Amino acid sequence: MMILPNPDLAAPRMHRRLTFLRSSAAFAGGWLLLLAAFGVYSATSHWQAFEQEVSESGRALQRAISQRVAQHDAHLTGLSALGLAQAQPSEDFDLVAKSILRFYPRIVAIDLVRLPSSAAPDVVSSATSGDGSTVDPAQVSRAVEMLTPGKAAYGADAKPGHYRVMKRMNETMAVSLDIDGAKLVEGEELPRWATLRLSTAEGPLLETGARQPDAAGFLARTVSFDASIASATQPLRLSLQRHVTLAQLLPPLPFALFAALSLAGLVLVRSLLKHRQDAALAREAAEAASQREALRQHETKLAHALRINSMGEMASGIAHELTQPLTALLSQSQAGRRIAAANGLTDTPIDTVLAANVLQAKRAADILVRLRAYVGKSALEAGVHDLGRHVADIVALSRIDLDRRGIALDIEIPEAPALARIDPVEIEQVIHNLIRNAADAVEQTARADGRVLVALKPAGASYEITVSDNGTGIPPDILPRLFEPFFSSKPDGMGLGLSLCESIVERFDGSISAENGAAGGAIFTVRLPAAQDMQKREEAAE
Amino acid sequence: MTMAPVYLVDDDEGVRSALSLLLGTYGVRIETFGDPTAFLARAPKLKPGVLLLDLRMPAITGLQLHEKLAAIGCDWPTIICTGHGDVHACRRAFKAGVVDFLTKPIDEQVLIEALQQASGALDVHAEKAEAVKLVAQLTDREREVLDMVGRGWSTKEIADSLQLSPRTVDTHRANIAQKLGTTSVAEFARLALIGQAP
Repeated sequence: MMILPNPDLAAPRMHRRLTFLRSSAAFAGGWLLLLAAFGVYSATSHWQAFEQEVSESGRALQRAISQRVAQHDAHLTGLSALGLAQAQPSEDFDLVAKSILRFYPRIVAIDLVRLPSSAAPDVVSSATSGDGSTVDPAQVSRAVEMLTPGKAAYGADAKPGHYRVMKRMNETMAVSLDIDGAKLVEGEELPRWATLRLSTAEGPLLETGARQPDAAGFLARTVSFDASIASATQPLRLSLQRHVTLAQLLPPLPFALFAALSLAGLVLVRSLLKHRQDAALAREAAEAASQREALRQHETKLAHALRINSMGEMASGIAHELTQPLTALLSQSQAGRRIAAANGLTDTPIDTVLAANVLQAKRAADILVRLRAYVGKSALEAGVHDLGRHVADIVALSRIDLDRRGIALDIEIPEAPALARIDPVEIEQVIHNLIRNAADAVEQTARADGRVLVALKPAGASYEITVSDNGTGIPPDILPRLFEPFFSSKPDGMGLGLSLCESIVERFDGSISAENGAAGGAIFTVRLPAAQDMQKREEAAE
Repeated sequence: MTMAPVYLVDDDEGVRSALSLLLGTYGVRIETFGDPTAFLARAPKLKPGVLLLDLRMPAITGLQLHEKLAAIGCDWPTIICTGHGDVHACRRAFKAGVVDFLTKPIDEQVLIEALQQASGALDVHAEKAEAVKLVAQLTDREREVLDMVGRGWSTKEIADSLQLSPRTVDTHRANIAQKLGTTSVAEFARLALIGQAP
């Protein structure tokens, strides 16, 4: 058996999935999420770019400083050789020293120091430039004391940012360079954003370049690069730093631009979705409207057929009711005439009166014949149709009314077509009538679980349509007269409904019967012969 | 005119009394019944007659009553009368073996003619029933002989055909004549024809 779903309930469901986007909170949340994702992406990529830039600049500086530091060692070696070649301090040394000072501004003082074992050391020759100053010979003496000749050592300097490199030439001589650390880096080499720190094992030597802010700003960070200068004589550590602010990680303009564009995009998407949704809702509404319209038309057609049929049934009912007394009248009058004749009263006034009665009765009978002919004129439009489809149709139509009255309406029909030779509108009218009667009976009990079941099933060479309810049932004294015209158990009933049902069903060689169910309530059964003919089946299939 | 009894079943009191009055003037024996079910119970005890049934009655239609009566052996000639000039009911009525179908109000002449015809049909019906009853008394061999006599065969021809002596055939003929109550060959032929068991 196939149970048809209630068509009115199987409506909008898919739109609920989309409606969450219509909530403003969800919309704003979605936007913020997009902005956060953009922020994280922007900060991460900028941070990586800064790290790379700092480390590239750091490496370049490391290379440059290493080269320069190595030059100092070379100068020391050159000067040492020059000093040793001459027994006495000469002008040559001074000339060379001065030339070095001129070409290498970071070297601000060159001193040649004598280190006698007995007497105090003294400066033999000294050349200075800029803020360079002659060395304290005692410092040189202390620094190179432990060195073997040819070795050099690092020495601190009193001036901030300066250091010295000193080399022992032999037992008694040493040479010293005063180096301005700040000039190890040449103007263009240090990027504007960079802070450079040079330090020795003893501590910081100098800091130059961009000033670091005293207090780190909100979410501000420092990108740094640290490296050692590979030199035995000048073991410097280099540290390059860049201060990065939130604004640099998350540039406001692109961020604002993204915010604006994403907002516009979301608004567009939302309006597109809303448009689509509205369109879907409109389509659904249109479908529902056209369904309602189809139902309404069906209802109108049915109501029209009912009016016509009811009129016919009424006329035929009246004809039937009048026929009986008329039959009695005619037969009695004819009997009367025969009695009169038997008593020799032929052609007497009593016979004439009876003859007139016979004529009038026949005249009335003719009127009834014409009335019946008029009623019977409604042509049969029988064809082979699927009972299941029409039962389902009429149940769908009746459901509107029963839903409103709070009565459940169930249907059971076989999946295979139930073909019978019928006029669909007429048969639908019968089922409609039976469902309405059932609903009325259920309503009288005022029960909450009121239910009407319409079932179609094959029964031998026929189909049976049963309409059962859990209403009041049929009083046994009424049962035999149920299908008589003008007989009604309803206070305002004409008594035509069931009589009409019977007339219609019989027109299609069917029958209708009523009984009370075992569990209470009434069961009406309509039987219609099945259309067996294969040819007719084909007709129906077309 | 001798006519079989008429049984009228109609739920309308006025119709019943008027028709019995009318038929009474023709000397027709008529019994009326208002309740089809009660008639169904009585019918087996009644003398065979003509059934005059109203089509529309509460609980059971005239056609259904006709079928039920036939089922219990009262397969008498039936006339259905109806107030509805209903073509479909009419068609089905004739299919079901009803002899006539009259529309109410029924004119005297039409009714009498229909009843006479039905009564005649009842006579034929009774005659056939009698013949079947007589023929049923015969043995199989006697029925064979009756059949051949009916076709006009001589005793010798019958004896040859059945490989019997003419004497034996004559004995069979004598027995048949006794059982059927006639010695007429024409009567033999009639009984052989209509006396076949249905």
